[in-house]
Amino acid sequence: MGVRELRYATAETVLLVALLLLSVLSIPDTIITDGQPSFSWSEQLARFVPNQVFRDLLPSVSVCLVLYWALHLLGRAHISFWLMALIVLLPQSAAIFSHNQIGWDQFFAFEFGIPGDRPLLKDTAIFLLSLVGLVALNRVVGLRLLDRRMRRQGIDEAEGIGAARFELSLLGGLVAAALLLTSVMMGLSAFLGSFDGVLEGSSWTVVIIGGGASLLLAFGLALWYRASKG
Amino acid sequence: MRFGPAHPSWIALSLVLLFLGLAMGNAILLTGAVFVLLTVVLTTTIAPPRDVSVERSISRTSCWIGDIVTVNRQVALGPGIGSVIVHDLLPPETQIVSGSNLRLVRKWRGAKSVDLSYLIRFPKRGTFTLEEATWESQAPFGINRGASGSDGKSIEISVVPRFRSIKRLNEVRAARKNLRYQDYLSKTGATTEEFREIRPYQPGDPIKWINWKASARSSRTDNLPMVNEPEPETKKAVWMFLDIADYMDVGSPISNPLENTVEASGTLAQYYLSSGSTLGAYAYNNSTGLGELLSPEARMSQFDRLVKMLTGLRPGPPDQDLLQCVERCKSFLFRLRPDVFIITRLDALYSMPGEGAGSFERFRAAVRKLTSLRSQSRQLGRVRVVHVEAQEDSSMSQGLGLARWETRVVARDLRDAGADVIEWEPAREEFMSVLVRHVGVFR
Repeated sequence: MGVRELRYATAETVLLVALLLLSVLSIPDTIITDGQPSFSWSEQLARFVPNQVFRDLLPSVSVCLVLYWALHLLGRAHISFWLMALIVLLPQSAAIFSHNQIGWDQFFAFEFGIPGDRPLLKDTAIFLLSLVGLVALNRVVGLRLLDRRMRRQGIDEAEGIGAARFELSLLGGLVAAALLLTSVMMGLSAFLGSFDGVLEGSSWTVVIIGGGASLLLAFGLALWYRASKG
Repeated sequence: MRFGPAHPSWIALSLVLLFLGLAMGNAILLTGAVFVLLTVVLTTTIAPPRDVSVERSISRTSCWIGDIVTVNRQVALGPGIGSVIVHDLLPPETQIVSGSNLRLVRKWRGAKSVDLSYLIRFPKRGTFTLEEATWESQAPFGINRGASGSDGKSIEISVVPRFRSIKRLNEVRAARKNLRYQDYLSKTGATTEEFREIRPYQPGDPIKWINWKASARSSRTDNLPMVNEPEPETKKAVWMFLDIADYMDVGSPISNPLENTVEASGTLAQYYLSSGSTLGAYAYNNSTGLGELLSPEARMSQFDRLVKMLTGLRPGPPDQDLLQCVERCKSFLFRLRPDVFIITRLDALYSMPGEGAGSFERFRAAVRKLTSLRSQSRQLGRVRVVHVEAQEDSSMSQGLGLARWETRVVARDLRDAGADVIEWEPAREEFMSVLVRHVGVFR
């Protein structure tokens, strides 16, 4: 393993640790303490007093890292990544489901136990941040493999570094563009959703974002189909 | 166009988020779905560079061993974002002096043109081909939408062996010059049709040599007519048998018995051709298995022909032996009665006790046949076997000790058969030094 590959591996590890910590810290406080209907970073951090950090947090993060790299070494990079994505996203589900507009839990007489007045923007930001982190992690894995391939081919080190920088700048642009477009859609939906009297009993936010997402999905599938047909 | 393995997974994730978001009326999940889908769509819509063309040229198509050749590559890239790898597959013998034959070019939108020149050197003789340059364009984000192709016509380079100047040898020859060399030029023997000079008539000159016009214009007081003197046919002739079997191609690719044989033959050719001798050669055990004949001639242009022949020689299995070669060249050998040089590795001829000595016996028979051609004067038609020793390295030192012993045994038998044996250790001295040492003997 070369120095550059080691750097990529370190970046991957740091990114994954950050995502895991973000995920752990985003677990709603109410589930654990069965009390306060609030979400506060100071409270979240206060949960992890030093002895708990060493007893709970570090071992769980370490287990995840070991699992991640073990699967990588076994040549299962794809499975490794998506397993970590699941581990990162799953703990956030309680906080996310607290913003459900359709109460399936009440319909099936199931109680999540999460207060419904959690700040929507904060939860959305954490979820989006996790997704951005996963996109970045996926690309760093890709860059590490690309770097290995370039070294095997014998491409000059400076050109390899240049190519990695080029890819990272493109990734930055991509994430920024995607976040901007998502914000525009969210803003538009929120704006339309503020007109309560337009369509009684339904949520414009859900309708607009869902419609937009469906359109995007259709567009993505159409592109994919065209591409697969050459 | 294909996608990387992660791409369908991202689409699947967005689908899951989308359906969960719609089913639960959850704005966060829908926002996540929109974000993931946007990244997928944006990465998919970025097209990699296309319309790649490579214009290639080299500074010269023929060079000496060790010369630096510039390979110019002008790469024009069409629209598209991503990187393009341009690769020249070089012959394995090539050394890259500066730059790289494998380059990666990054580009944003719009056309781009880049100069990807590099310098190479060939440490071995031969004719080498630079195949078409290959290129591979890659889309960003690891999406397998790239294209590949090849462009730029293939180029052939002829690398000819470099021979050391024989200036030092000529100086030694001049210092030792005596009448013996003069004797090699016939005064009354056969002449060629080539014009040498106009000179006054001398007794014995044929009448047909008289140049009547020049005689009429002459203002000589002795009234002697002028004659066109043709080039005399040189008496001295040299023939080289070059063994280029694969056992000669051992050791370093740059300096091994095969390359040393090439060097020795070139030096001998320079030496004899510059003194007006006729030179012919036959290379045997080459890759074609047919042998390469250089018909005898006395001009310096013969050296160029020899270099051309040497450039193309490739080692082959030792299917031919010297006796067959002598048979093949016997018409030339009988006519010229030349001094013969056989350049080979004598230890390769050694037969272990208990083994059949067939190959050495045939070699010795060939040497006897050649020595039988010697002229009455015993000055011409000498047979010299040049043994080229394989170069030593630490791992081979023990084996070489044995090889030297085998060489001595074979050399003794060959001397008994009437040949002079010259043992040359290229690692210790240049062939020029061997020639300088033997110059008196060689004349």
